[in-house]
Amino acid sequence: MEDIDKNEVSDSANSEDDELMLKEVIRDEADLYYLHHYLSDVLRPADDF
Amino acid sequence: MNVQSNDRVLLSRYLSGDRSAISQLIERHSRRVRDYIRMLVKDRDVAEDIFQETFIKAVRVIDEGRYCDNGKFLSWILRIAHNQVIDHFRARRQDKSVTEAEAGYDLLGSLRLAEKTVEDEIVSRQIESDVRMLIEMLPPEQREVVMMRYFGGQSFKEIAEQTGVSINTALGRMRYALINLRRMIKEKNLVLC
Repeated sequence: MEDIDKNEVSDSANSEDDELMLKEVIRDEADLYYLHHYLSDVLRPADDF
Repeated sequence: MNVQSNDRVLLSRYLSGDRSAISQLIERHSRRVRDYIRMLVKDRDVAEDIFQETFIKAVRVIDEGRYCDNGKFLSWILRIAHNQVIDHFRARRQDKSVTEAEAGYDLLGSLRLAEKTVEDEIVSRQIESDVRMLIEMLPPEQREVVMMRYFGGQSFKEIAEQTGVSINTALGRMRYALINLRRMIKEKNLVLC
């Protein structure tokens, strides 16, 4: 069975970048927060654009 | 391994009988879901109740075999959270204490989001395509930061270095990009799902 990449889990969950995104970009606006995660799902690095 | 792959592995483990896998899956996304709900309801105690209800609902859907794994587990969980918040506000509206518009979730529409059917998936893909076209319409410096961040997976520090601006400028461009996208999405009457 495949292993979970533990580093990826902790890095993505607690990264400084996520904090910057929350504090400086989203600023407690729920619809921007949803849009951010929507784009994260839709525009994955492996996708063709 | 990326986030989506890890979600799939955990779901697969859970469905194969590893009960601990669902706890790991919830833990992976708990902060994001909790933050989202708190932004909507502005009350920590209520948010915590809705958070618990969200994951109970999610596990029930998975247990019943109704979860369609399209690699977007977080978006799916956020939609469930959204529905739980809608239910909460509808209940409170009966007390005339708050309106849905006050909650600020226009991007998701004011209606509860139905669980997806095959037809809904087709609509979702069309909306994704529309959103990509809207990104192409952003001012170049905003489009660049969106592409580097989401498509390229780069940090704001890397984006700042590569584009020759400060991190604050890169963050500001991202904020304006999201605000502009939000406006264009509303103008096109798109509902993200």
